[in-house]
Amino acid sequence: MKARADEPAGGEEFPYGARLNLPYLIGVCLAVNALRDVWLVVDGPDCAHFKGQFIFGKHDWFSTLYRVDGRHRIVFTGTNAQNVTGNRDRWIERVIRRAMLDEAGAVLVTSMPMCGITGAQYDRIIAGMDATLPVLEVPGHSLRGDWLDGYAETLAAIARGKKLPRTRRRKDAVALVGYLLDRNEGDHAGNLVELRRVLAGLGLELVSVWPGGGPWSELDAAAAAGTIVSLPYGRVAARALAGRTGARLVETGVPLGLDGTRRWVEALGAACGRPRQAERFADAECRRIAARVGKLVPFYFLNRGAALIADPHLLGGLAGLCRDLGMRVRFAASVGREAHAPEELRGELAPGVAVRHELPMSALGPERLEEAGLGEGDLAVANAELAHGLLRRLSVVDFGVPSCFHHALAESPFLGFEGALRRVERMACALAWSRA
Amino acid sequence: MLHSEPDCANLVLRDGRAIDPGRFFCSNLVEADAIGGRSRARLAAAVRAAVDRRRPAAVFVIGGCVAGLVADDVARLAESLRLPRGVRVVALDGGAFSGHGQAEVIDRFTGILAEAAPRRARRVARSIGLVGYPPDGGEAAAILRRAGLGIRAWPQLDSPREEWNALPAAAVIAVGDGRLFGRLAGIVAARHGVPVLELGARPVLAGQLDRSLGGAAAFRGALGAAGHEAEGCAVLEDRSARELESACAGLREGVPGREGRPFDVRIAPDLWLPAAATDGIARVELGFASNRRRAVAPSPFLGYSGVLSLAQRLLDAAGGVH
Repeated sequence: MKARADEPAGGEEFPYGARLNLPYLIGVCLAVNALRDVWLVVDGPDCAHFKGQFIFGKHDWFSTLYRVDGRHRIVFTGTNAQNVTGNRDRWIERVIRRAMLDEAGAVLVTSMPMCGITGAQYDRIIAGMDATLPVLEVPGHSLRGDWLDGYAETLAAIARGKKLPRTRRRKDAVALVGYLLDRNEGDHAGNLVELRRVLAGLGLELVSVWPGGGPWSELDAAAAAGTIVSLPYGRVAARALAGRTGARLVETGVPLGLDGTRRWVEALGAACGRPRQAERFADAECRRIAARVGKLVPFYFLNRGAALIADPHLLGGLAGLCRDLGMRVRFAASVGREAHAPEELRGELAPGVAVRHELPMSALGPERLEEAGLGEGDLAVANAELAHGLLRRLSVVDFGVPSCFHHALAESPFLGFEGALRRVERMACALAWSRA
Repeated sequence: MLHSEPDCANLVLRDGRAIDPGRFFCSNLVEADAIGGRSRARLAAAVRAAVDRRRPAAVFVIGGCVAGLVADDVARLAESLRLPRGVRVVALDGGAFSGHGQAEVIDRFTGILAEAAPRRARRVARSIGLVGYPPDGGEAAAILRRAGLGIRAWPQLDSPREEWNALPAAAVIAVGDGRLFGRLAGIVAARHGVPVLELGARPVLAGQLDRSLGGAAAFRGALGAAGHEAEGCAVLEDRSARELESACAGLREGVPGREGRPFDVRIAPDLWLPAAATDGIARVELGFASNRRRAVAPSPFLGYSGVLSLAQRLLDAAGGVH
């Protein structure tokens, strides 16, 4: 389609439908969902609830954002056309106070775009409240950011504003900051068990995960960490926290896939002064995984094509895993703004395959897959929104946000060495179905 | 076409259960558009692109919150667009944010459909067109047949154009709710000379439709002393769930001897029912949105069979069996 002179840039192809990327408030809600006693006040109309309902019971079966007693953890101010331009400070304060329940550990305050445009000063309202609970503002950047920005901004607000206990830092204690805990299911429970195990393999103790699915008070343990590992979903938060506690800051990628996990372990080993221990541990783990996976490769994976559609911080690890299995990545799209893409996604993810950013959903139809050389017997790793459409042609592993068709009741990690094994298992099962 | 920003529209458009993503679009405003005064250009480009892509008969544009706040005149913009011949653009400024509800959206939408119907329609004697009545398993057809009438057209909001085009061929058109279908009624009456009656769609024991056929009096007579009109009952309109709960709490206090239960059964859509789960009051889910009760087998709530079916549901709810 030829672009008109008055058509603003809006990404490639047809920019006027649903976007593959997710909106800002989803990210804020995901972060709140991952802190089980935090309430979120959204200044805006009742459609604020759509964001929570995108997660609750749909992506996350164990979400506590909504409750049968009506004390929902997402609260809205009910702003409308009649009152948005008036002075709403007292009303907003009343809504915040209503969210300050006995069981709440903290209250976060953010806004829908039309309220943000009016320049409401939430920080001033909060400062004048003399609140009995921590109340922090998360800036409302829906018009410029996406879900990854929303998640990162929420963690950054917490890292800057949370009171931390005075405690002695321990050299071997590690805090993970910027972990994307997008649901309270077994996949993330398994991830945390696995990351704890991997760190223990290096002689390190995982003392805190930001956020880790627990209560607000659990975040305090990060103050004792001698090392803060900054994961890509919360870089600013990790820097702010390390700046406050004086801990060593180690910026890493996500330990996904064998190669990605090995690099993560080696980066940590080097930063914490134990490189040989890291190398030995990674070698042993890779041998263990290879013994399990090796015999499957020629039967299920070798020369199969793969389409990878995931958040930008997972794409590299997924591509590495596909390479290790002898698969050919033929298409890759990022669920996030291009600015989030790590260095490894700047060039080609696989020979002749550049990652596509900011795609509309309509750009992922069957014709696009055919153009990429994907067909029956090939594999797609994609979130639930795309899974239905792709399933008609490919074997699909439902992965990412939202993941509505695959839920994890038991621990089933996707990070670390054990996670790589589980990922291969799911991919093999998906491919096996298409051959059945 | 939703003229809005991604945080709003992205989720609405994603709900594939409710809408066909191939026919719903969004201008996807970003900060530079909204603050920098480029939102109207963005909408114009979006409408043109959607028309190029799908060649629709009409584009329905609804303004969202941000568009409302930056005072985009969606209606004027829609008028000024030069689009291929035959493509209509109808705009609703401000959308839900400006206080427009479903009623206005449906009114405008069905108005377009009525206007687009061919001017020459061959009138069919003793036939009726029904608008705003859900499918009922044949009840309405049976009632009308007994009165010597046939149904010429019975379009639903997602019916193909032919069904809407057939409306002016009816001898008379019955609409369930004049507020929802006022524009359609006016257009059909003015352009085609077809009389339009507002007959209501209330699932009462003897509804408006068969009252006009003489059935209600016989029914009431058969009920004898059991039948009575509601007394002292005020209708609350356009209230939030919280306001309804508050009104109910007031009733509880004001009815002595009822042990805090001012009524025995709630008949309501899903939205108002969850809170009732703990108060011991029987519940019947009815109306839009009805999310928990599903009808797999025909189970009308209109007409005579609907009376039986609703009575059965009331009985089951009161007895606590489902």
